[in-house]
Amino acid sequence: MPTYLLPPLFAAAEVATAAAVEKPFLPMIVLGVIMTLTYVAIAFDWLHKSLAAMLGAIAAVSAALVMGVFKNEAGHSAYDRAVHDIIGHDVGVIGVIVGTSVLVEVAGRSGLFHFLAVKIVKATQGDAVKLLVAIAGATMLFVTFLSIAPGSMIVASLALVVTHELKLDARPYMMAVGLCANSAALMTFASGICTIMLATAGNLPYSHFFFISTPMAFISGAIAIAWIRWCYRGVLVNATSETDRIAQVNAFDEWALVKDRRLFYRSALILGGTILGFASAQRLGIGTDFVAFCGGTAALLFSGIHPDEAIKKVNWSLILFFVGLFVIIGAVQETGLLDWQARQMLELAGGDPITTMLLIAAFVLALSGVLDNIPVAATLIPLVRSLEAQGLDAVPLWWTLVITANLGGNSTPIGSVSSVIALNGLEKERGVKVGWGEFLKVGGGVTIIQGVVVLAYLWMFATFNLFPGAATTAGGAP
Amino acid sequence: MKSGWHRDYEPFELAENMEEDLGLFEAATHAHRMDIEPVRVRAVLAATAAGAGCLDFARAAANRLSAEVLTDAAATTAADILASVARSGAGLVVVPGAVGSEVLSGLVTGDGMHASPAVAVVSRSGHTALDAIVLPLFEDKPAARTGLAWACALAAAAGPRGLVSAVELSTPATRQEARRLAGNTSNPDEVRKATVGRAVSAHLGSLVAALQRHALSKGYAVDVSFRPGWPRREILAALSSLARPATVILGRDGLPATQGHGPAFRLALELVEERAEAVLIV
Repeated sequence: MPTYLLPPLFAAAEVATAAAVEKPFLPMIVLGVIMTLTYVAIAFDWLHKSLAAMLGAIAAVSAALVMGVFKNEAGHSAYDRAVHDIIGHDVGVIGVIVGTSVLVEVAGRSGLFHFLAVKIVKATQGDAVKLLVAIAGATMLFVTFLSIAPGSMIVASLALVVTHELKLDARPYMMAVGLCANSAALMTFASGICTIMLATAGNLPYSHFFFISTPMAFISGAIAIAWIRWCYRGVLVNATSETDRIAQVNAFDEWALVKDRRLFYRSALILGGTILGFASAQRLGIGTDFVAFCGGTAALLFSGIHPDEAIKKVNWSLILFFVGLFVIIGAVQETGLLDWQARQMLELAGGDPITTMLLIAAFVLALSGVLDNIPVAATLIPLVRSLEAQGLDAVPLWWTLVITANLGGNSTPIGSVSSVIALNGLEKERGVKVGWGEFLKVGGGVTIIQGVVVLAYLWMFATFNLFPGAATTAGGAP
Repeated sequence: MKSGWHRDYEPFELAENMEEDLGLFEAATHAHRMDIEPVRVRAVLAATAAGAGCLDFARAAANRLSAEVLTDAAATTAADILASVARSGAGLVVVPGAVGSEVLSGLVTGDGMHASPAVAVVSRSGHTALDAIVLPLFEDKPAARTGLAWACALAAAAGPRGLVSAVELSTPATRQEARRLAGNTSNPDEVRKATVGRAVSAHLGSLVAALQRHALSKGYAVDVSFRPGWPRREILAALSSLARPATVILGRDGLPATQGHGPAFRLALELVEERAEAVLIV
């Protein structure tokens, strides 16, 4: 364990323990039960997720007000503290999601990525193995710029159509889409909603992604491709002669799918500008939500798409869900429950930050396979803040969450939105069902290998103090 | 445990978008390269007592097609016009909107309908309507290719100001295909708009590719959109969304014929009655 962490860690832990003792126990239990019930209601589809989160928020705030969890402060009523401050704290995440939703809708529908996708397939000349690598590569490229759902959907559609034309078994290609999309979510700040949430919460600089999570994106992607190649080695064989398939692939006409040439040039410019904006936001002293808003507005202005068309594609249900979820978590945090959980975690790790980090990594890898990574991340964000308040360097923990919350979804067929898209598409379009057994062999295998590599990777970064900004953060920790 | 709600987490209408993506890739993989036949017109005939806007249109069309302009104020009926065409060898007849309905009706029922040249009914604007073309696309058939060739020729002549706004429209065949894609449902209401769009896009890939390549080489703009409603309403909506004068080009057997009338002519009649800027039947 890095020695620089020890003094602030233990000193802060003592202070936090003393402070936590003062917190009444009943609100912790009541609000903890409300949060758990909300998650269960969502997970088992008892209620629509937004409705469940909003009901949970009402229950949590009401209970907190009744039990006096929130105190009136100068200029702020208890209600202000309960709702407005909590939402205000996380409004950046909502801003980034709304802005990027509009931008990605325009860019994703511009035809640019579809055009590139056909070009990529043509470069493989229809060779089964090269096509697998190309599909995986296209998934990673598109998800990097469009985020998981729209990026993987484009490539899943491509894989379904191309494998049908070339008479190839679609399963390995669809698995590549499902599994590589989660690796690609590590590429940049804006490559996935979960990544956006964590990066915004941890104030992770865009450029730091290239040192920490982008290499892991490539490593984990390569692991996925190699494992899929090995698992499906018997079916990755061309059914037609080389001459025939080359002629067939060369006949694919990428211009047939272009709807508006001007739109895709403009989309590329706006997307590029927004990425530059994200990269320089911190240097410019502006928030990433502002950059996302600028990108979204530029897309609405110059895309030629009617603003209503693009705006209605924003999933407002998701936004309401986030608001509800943030309020619940904020109220629970006020009770001191999350601080208590953080202390339990520290105790379990024997107070060692690296062990704590690896415990969190293993926990999130496992949990993200069965629970969506968005509520997992939303719940762990305040936990990491609590650990930070108790003296632990938060930077390694944010990166741990970014990497493990995304990759953990590879272990089961319901673990990530990309796998759900790929497998549903395969079943609906080709009538081929990938069962749990087959998925666990492929995706589970990938997750185990990736998990071991991720733990080693994080351990190496923490041990050799390779996390940019970590030492400064540690030094400045309370 | 989470499969039911998982998809709702991402801010996209997944099923709709996936249908659209599949349609685009099917268009790319099913498309075959086609060449756009050049349009050759020796003369443009401005028939009846053509007004200034109509003559302006005829001159601009002739200029863009490298043809000469002829006038015949005495040709006021479909029969007169066909006779005048036979004498002059005109490849395009331009008539004012005021008599357009009568002329079109005459052509629908007249014997010479299939042999007649291209007919433009000009209701309002003059030459500027030739810079922007609204091109309804129904099926990849010879008439659609003829319409495409005319659209390309006129838009290319307009240079960077040129625009072809292609409107992909469904037909009974593509709606049937969409029902098959939706699991052979017998209820058309159960078929998503995006599924119909997918079937339509997959059929029209060759035409769209040819149009885009031509536009790229000649420097004019193209936008292609699928519109799910009735052709007349959707074409008028496309015209109104352009916010500039435009010409609608219809290939004459663009729709399956019913009741002995050419559906393209009936559609043209409806558009003329709705006072579309200019309607060109080729």
